[in-house]
Amino acid sequence: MADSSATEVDIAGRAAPDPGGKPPAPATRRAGPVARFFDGDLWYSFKRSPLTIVAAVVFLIIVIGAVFAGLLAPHNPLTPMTMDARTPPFGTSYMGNYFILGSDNQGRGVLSAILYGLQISLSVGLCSVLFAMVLGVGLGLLAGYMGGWVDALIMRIADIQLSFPAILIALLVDGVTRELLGQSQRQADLAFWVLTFSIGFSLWVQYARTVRGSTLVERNKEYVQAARVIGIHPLLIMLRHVLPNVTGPVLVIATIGLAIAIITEATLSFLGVGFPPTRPSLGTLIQQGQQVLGSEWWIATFSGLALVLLALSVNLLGDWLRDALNPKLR
Amino acid sequence: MALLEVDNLRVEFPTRRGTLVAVDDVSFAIDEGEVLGVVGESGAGKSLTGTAIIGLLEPPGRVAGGEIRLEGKRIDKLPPDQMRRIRGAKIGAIFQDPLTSLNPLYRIGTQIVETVLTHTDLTPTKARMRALELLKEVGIPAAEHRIDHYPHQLSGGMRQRVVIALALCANPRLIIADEPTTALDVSIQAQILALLRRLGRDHGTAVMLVTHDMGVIAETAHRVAVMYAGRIAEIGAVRQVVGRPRHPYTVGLMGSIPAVGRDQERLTQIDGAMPRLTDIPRGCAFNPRCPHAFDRCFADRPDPIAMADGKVACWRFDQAEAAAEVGHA
Amino acid sequence: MPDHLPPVPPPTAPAVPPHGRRPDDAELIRDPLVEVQGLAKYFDVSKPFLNRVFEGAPRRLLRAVDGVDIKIPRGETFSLVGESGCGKSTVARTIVGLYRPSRGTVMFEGTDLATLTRRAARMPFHRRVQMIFQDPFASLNPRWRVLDIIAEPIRAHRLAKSAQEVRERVAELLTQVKLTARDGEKFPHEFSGGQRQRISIARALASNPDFLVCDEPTSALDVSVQAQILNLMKDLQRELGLTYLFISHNLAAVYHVSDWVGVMYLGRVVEWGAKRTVFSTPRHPYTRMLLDTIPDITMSGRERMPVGGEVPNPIDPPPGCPFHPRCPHANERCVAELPASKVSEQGSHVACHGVEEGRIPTHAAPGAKVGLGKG
Repeated sequence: MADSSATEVDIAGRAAPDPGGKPPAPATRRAGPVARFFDGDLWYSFKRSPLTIVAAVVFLIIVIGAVFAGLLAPHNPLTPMTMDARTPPFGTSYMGNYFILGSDNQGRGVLSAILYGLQISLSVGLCSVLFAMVLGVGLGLLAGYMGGWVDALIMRIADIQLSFPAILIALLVDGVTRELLGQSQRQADLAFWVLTFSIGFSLWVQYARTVRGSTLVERNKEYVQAARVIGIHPLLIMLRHVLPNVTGPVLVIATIGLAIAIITEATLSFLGVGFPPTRPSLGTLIQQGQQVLGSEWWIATFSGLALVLLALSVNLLGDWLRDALNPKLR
Repeated sequence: MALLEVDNLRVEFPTRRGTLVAVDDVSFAIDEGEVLGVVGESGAGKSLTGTAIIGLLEPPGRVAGGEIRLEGKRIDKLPPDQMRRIRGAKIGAIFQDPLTSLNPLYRIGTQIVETVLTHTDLTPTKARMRALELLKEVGIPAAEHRIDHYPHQLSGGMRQRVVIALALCANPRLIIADEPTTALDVSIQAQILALLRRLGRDHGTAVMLVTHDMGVIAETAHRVAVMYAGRIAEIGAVRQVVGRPRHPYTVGLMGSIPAVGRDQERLTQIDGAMPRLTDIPRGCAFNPRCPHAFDRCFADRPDPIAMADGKVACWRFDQAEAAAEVGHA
Repeated sequence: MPDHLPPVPPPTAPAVPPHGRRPDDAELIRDPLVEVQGLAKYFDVSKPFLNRVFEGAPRRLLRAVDGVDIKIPRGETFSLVGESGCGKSTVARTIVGLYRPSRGTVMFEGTDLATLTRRAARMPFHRRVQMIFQDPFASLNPRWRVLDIIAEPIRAHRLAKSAQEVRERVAELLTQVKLTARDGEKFPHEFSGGQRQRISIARALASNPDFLVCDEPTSALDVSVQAQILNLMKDLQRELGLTYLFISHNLAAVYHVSDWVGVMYLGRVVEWGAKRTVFSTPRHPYTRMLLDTIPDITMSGRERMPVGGEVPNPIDPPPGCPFHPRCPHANERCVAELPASKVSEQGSHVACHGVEEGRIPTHAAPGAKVGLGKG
């Protein structure tokens, strides 16, 4: 009765994967990376979180404003006119210039200054996070993979550094660099690198610790051992096998680190060790504004608001990313 | 009336790409003192069947159909607090990893005494004596001494015994043991299985033993249900299913198990793997791998067909053939 | 005793040499591919340095492997079997060079691996010795395509001249393990456990090795998939003349695949010899105990003989014979003195005072009644 020809199905070892005992994962369709992203869990959890969408929109507006500050700013804050000074929001100055968010005592439009300030905040933030990431990930990978005294040395240095607050380290690095290089004509350009380095240096420990932890886990996984059995050089194993598998949490730390870096930059500038007052950064703006908070309230208020919006949106994005990438919370 | 009756149980997982049916139309019963083995490969739905019975399905999984009756009363639609009471008093659960069932912060004695106190009206002193009794019963040497140990001070085998002792606290009518010996060494495995068998014999406890290991089933269970892709492929007395399997899947499964003393160049091989829940084929779920599949297998899903000593969900055994075989038996 | 076991066919009797002594099984291994002598691997599990200094805590060593001698003949399968923590995986990992031995030597074709200190000198060894791991979900890099995973040994050892040649070789390997060339474009998560294990095998074969170390290759798989993998491994051995070291706790799988079996307990090989000798006339009490614990699938109604006790902690192993606390035949000598491995009358190597003194009779051996009785 059995029609044997109907059974000649070529399935030798190629049937679909079993779903495991747990709620089965839906079959993954094969598609390009873009399509995969919009099909993926990340996009799905993004769509389902209105707060995250708002944060992303705010962040995007800030980024666009900062990147195109030169085009968007109604005035050039680098060449202020004293006659424009102290115009209140929605006011017109003696020169007949209209300022939506008012102007400061040098005659810089607050909106324009904020846009240029955001540019500085974002670039210092990004560069210092990048610096911290490269340093921290590299050292963490090395410590986790090599183990032994390399690990002990790197992690003790990290421990010592962690016991100093980030601002203190940044102040220290900043002070030392200034002392070494002296007051230069191109102080503003120098300030950028000093800030980037000092903030970055205060942030690397977190990356190193996280990466070391994940590396310790990955190192003992069998795919790394397989690479060792094949005879792959340890450095290549670290870079090609371990690194791609420990970057998930790094992305989350980097996002939250960006917010910290931006605030640290503002703090340092506020304390007078960052950018010179001639360069509008959010920190210097707030600092100037708070001296005249009684009369020209709008300077500190709007700069502060911009800083809060930036830091908050980045933080919210970081929180979402952390939850979305954490399989336990899914 | 059987102690536990499961009728047409259906467990679903709604996902954003559609609803997956992980357990489909599963029916069986367990008598007092009986050990029912539920065997199948990973993803067959055997564990989910057990979890559905004790009401511990993780959302979004849910019982979407059928009935579960314990001592004749339905327990599948009970509110969580009532279900929790039944879970403690009538149904005990043993899982693969004993560490997940034990609180690492409390001494094992404390955990057992607490459970005893919750389910009985013994005084604390009596409860401790009962705990000691339970530990001795599950074969923990020097129980007087071990009762004050923390879980981490015990070996894997000892921990699993403690979990069994915990499950026995309230003299449950039914024990659901999900891969209770998988994490243990062979010599310990034998001891734990002997213990489970003794429970049925001495206390009339029914045991549902979920495992992937045919060897464990063969020497522990009275009856066995073989699951495939969320359904029962074959159910019957263990001698029948293991010794003279009828469903082509069971036949293949039995042949694929190597045995000491059986010299063979190759093992019987069922090609392919169990289908994902997302693409279970039409008709019989086993049809792509079945050496006997014919037209009907690709069109209709077979329901378990009653035969002597069990049921087989395979069209090769439909009424006419079944009747013939019953006649032979 | 396991009456349920179908009779183990008796060993094919080796020709008795002129001096009348029965040759030991290992003498049949004339030209071993791998020879392990006095191998030991200790792991330092002491507290950190500062704690030791201030708390006076002693150094603690976990003796995972403590004196193992085996020979693995070319083209055959040697299995190490034992309960978890007996050190069988550590032996495997030391042989492939993942661990450096604390003592003893591993010889591959007569070359002591310890002498290969330079990277360049080790590379030919890495090409010829490959490993298959237990967990098919951890043994493939989740971020690599299957093509790159399998191509890694080919590229590392420069076994192909062009990218095209690499692709062709990978396609050939995929077909060899019963997958298709198109599977190379996929990522590991798109495969089932059994299919991943095939990919693992393809990667291991990519560098044309002679020796494959298989560490519990089927323990994480379902039985029907296990049968597929075991069949595949046997086919490949026949086609490519591979030598296997097979590590498993599953005695039935070991019986199915091996030619030689070593039984490990607490870091030592307590008994080893030809498969038929060990399974039909097990001499060491631990071997007998293990054979007793095989689940009875033949439904003979036998109750397994429950064995008391558990494997002791390898950080403080018992003195003397490590098995004495669980051994029904132990006496004072067993408590005091570590037994050396001696050749038994059956030709297997047994480390047991009782066997050496003749206290443990052969006829009590579980398989003997069935196996030799028939022979």
